[in-house]
Amino acid sequence: MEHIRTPKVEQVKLQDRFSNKVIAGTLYLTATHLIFILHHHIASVEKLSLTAGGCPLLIQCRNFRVVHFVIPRERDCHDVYSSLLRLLRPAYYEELYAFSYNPKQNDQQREEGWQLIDLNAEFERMGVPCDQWQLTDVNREYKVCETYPRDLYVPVTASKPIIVGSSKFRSKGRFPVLTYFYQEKKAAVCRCSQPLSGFSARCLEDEHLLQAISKANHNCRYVYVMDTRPKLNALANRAAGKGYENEDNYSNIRFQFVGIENIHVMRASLQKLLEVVGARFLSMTDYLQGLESSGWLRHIKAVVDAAIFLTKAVAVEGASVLVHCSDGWDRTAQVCSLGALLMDPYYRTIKGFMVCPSTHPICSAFHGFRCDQLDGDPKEVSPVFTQFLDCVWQVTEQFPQAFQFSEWFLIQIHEHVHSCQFGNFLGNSQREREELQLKEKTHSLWSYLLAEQQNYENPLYSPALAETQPILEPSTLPCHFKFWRNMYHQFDRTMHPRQSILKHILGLRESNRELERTANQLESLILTAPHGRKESEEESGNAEEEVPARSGAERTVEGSSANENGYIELQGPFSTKPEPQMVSLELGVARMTC
Amino acid sequence: MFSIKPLKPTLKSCVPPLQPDMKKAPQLTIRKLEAKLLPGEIVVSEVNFVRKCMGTGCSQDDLWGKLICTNFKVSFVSHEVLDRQVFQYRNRLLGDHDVPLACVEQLVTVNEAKGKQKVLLSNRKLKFSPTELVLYCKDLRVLRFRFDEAGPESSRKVCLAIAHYAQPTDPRLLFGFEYVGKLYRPPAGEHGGRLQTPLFICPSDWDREVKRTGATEWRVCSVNEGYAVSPSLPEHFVVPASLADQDLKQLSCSFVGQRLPLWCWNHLNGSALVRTAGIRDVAEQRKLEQRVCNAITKSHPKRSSAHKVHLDRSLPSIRDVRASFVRLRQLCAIGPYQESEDKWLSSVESTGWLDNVRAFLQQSVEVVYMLEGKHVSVILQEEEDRDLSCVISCLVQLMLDPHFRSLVGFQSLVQKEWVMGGHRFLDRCNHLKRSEGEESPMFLLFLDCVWQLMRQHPAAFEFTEIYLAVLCDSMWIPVFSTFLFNCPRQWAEYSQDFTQSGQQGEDRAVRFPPVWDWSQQFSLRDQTLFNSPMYVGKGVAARVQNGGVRTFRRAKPKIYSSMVRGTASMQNGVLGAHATLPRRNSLVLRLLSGSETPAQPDSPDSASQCFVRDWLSRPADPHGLLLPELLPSHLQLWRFYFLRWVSEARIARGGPITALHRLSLLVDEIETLQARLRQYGGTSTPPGLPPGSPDPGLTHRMPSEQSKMYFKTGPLAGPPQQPEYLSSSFPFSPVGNLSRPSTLGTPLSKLLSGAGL
Repeated sequence: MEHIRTPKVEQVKLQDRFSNKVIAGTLYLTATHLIFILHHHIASVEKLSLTAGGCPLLIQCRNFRVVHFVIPRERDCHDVYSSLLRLLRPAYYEELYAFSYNPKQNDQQREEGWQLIDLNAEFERMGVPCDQWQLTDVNREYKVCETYPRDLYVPVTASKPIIVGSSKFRSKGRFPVLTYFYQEKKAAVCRCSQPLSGFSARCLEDEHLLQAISKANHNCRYVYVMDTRPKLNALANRAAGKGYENEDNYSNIRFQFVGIENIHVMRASLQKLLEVVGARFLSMTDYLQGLESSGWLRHIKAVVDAAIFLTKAVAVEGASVLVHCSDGWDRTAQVCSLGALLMDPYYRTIKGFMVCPSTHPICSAFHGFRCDQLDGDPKEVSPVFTQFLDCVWQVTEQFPQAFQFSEWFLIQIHEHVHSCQFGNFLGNSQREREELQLKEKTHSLWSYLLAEQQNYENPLYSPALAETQPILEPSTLPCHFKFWRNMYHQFDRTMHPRQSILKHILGLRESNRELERTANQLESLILTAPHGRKESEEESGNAEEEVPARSGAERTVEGSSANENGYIELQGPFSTKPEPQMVSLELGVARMTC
Repeated sequence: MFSIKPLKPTLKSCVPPLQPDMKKAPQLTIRKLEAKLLPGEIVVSEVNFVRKCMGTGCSQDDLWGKLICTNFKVSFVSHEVLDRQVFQYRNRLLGDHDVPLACVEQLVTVNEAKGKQKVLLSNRKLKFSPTELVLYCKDLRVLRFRFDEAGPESSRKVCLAIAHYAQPTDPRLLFGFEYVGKLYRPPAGEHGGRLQTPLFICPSDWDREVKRTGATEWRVCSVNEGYAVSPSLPEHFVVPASLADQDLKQLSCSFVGQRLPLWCWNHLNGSALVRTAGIRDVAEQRKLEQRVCNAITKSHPKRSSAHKVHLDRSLPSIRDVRASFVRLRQLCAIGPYQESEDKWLSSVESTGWLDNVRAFLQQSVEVVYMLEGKHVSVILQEEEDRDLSCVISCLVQLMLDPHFRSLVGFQSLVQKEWVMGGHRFLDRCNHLKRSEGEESPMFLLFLDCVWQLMRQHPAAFEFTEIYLAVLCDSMWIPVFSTFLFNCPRQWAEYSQDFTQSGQQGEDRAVRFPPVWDWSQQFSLRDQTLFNSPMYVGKGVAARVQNGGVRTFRRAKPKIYSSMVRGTASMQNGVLGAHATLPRRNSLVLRLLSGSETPAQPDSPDSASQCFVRDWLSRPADPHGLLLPELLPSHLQLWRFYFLRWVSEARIARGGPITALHRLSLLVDEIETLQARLRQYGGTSTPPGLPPGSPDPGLTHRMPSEQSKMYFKTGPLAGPPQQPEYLSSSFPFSPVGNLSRPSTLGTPLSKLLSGAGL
């Protein structure tokens, strides 16, 4: 609280980004929220030059909301500005919202929430450990690699000295470990960081380890090594004593560059994208050209391409694949996760998706979750996770029936990655997380999401598809990659579609259930009560009229009662926070946050 | 069928050089391959052992068969018994591999050995024997045939025949005349009865439309009977009641093409939509305009003066539209997919097609604002009143009147504004290959605009995008009166001419069938592909109202009120902005609350933008006004139409169709259940049924309750299976034939093909 100078400013105007609509109200500043905008969401605060109406304050959030306040007095504005600057960059983890957030759960519930994700159980589901892969305790004290978790799976034939030797040859000690096991063909997806090969260095242990990975798969004589970087970047790394595997030194590897750009390019690309779509009077030409020159969709495509390659190699060819980039936590994580998503229908369910990112990039220490919660180096911030979610969304667009979750699930996850309300995305490695005692002090997002699962379900999902079409083959023609409006414009209410298929189908399903229930009820009535025929007839007469009315109403309601569009309505019921009574900004802000 | 029939005199003129050869052509095929011929269709030339290529090169998926050119189509009949390339729907007029000649845009013959390539035009010579024939079609298909194993002479002849027949010079040479003459099927018979689409040929259709929209101050006039006044107007049309026939005749001379102002539609608030041609005489312009405006003003209940919109000034010309379409076609049908990887968006941008779509939608919104928001009549003025105004008036009516969003309503709209409005289909489709300058894909542009609306409001339309695509394809089948003529008069003339020249033609009036009788092309089952599962029909609402009286007591009050609101404010299917009931989010309330907040003084928003924003803040009503959102991110390329033939763009077992499939199943299930419930209600009447026994008809649908959905739930309640043949270009895609490498077109594809996958 000590950082807040002015907790309340009256007569503040909120401007809509795409029109001149203005709403007046009172601005409140609390320790964690600026009227419901979480401080952690705020990416940048800008004070624009003075205008006649007052002093403008522009706030850009990481969940792609842009808020434009106009504060009548300049001093108030400055106070808010400086308070925000301090508040949104806490210096210690303990200042984060997650440590103060309390959703009225007792300790047991909290524990259950954390137990939802069990990595070892997940590996067991994949069929590991098996005769070729085993659990190793080499990293028990985080001695070999401090950014890896404790439990790691390696080939049976890989001995400890080999592992340790290999880890010394890999950047940050991240040696090849199992991340996904394709049981059907016994093919493995492994990940690591780049080798410290420089121009000519070799490491026998590393070569042995790759040999072991290759031997663990009898289907295929060779292992694919995917370097997800562009070749140029890898070459440049050689000068720094890093680099890539030399095909001559390793027996039986097939090396391939994939060409996904690094986080700095991605960050600039996303920034450009947001600039383009945030313009007010956008012409078709500007939009299309801007979209292209931002390159965002091209980068998305590159990731999907790589994932398809991975899928092909593993699921079709039955070959094991080793994936790495520079440090093996950004691009590698994206590609492995997306690849697993395409290969394994389990990850396309709500529960599976929670495990999928946790095996791969996010929760467990594989992925440096550098979302800049603390006041850190802005150069290390990257939209890796946003990009991953975007990739998943592109695939859901192509296969609307294959996923159990809808895009709101993805958006909700994205929201909380930045909100720091839950402990899942804090810390960069398992070790850090243990040190922070996240499991004891914070809550898990997954239990929160599971509790309101019905809000995120994709009504088009057909589970039968998992058997008939286990492997998804998305088309990666550039025409199939679209701008994800509901993500990047999620807070611009005027941009939302007026009618969505999703909402429609939800309505239909509801009425279907209703009808089925009535029908069954009537059937049983007729069967069980032959004597009371008169009544049952009457009953059925009533119901006959009622039910079409119900279903019809359902449909009419779909369009007319919805005060807002589908998104808001769906979001509405689970906004647990009380809406502020006195703030008439409600229209502009309160509804935007959920 | 193959025997040579004596040719009709009309045909002789265009056949001569090839006929003798055709007689000699030996029919020594291993298995007899025959083209399915329609009445009046004859085989002109054919060649066997032709290879139909599936990709740019030769592959094992190629089909072998016979290429046949008839006077109607280019037909390919495959040798293979198990044809791997089957469409999921069947056109009764065309086979799977057939292309109507009218659909052929360009014909390129190639001789690989000599490295020669020639665009083949009618009556040109072909000096080399072709090894390859590429057909570029107007529906964006590209077909490639190779003649490696075929006789060089006969392949040359087929190419020449196709080139010749694809470019007729006289409309009477179009196949429709042959077909209709042979077919002789009075449409008033079995088919006419089912045809619910008004054709607006007789005054009663117009009368009904006037009554439906409540246009009391307008009358149907027959001043153009026998096309005495204007050649391009229909015989009957609607004019302000204050103008007498005499006035009209007098006025007509001053308009371009004698086209008098033509009433299109009336808003519930009395404002009318009128389209008119330009005025020729500049000197008299003001006076005439005044007169017309006065008459229209008089027909407005509040006597508010009409607003004039000059479409020529604000919209791209038909030439612009054509140019952008040509670029788009280049991109979608021919464009190298692998190279254009990174430039896809800018290539789409450079075609300017989406810009055009947006401009037309934008203009329509402005007009809607005038009619709905300002309650004034609108006059759409275009120099000829036969192109741009068709698009705009149709879009405006679609946005305002839910009637036109039903299938029958939409068809009547197209019939009214395009066919009767005198859109020059013959010239714009360039059926006669006369002048490129007249050709323009205005109708396709209109359908694309409709698609954009449909995508934003899926529940408001009764039809699907498949319907729009099929409708567009029907333009290239020169059989239907809808797309064959420049104006109603031409249609009447040709029908008459034909009757007279016919051999036995006594009193038989040749009637070209309109395209709306879909049973000519598709089976009833295939026609169900047109029905959108999401449509909330008026019929449903009405039934709710009738059946729901007693049960409303029990229904939740919220539903009750919303339903009353939905129906009460919907008079004539039009949502009145000033409905008597104060709606929760009505304009009135919004204005009240709006007055509390001080309006931004320096607001550059135009009034129409405010109107749009107001509409956006209200709940969506599929039976009310629909407005498109026009921010660039809301408009998309109509991928289904433009990319359906491109195998690289196909998403196997995915795409929007799978969502539609799932929805259809649900809707079908609901219908089945409702039918069951109705049966329970009905069981009280037959007294013979023992009380305890289950009703035998229980699980079956009543015969009258034919499901409207293409995808139906199976009899057993199991998990719904998604058919394997679904793909993003369903129903147009060939199934399972292409062992398509899924990374085709990606940088990794080379590796994948080289690495022995």
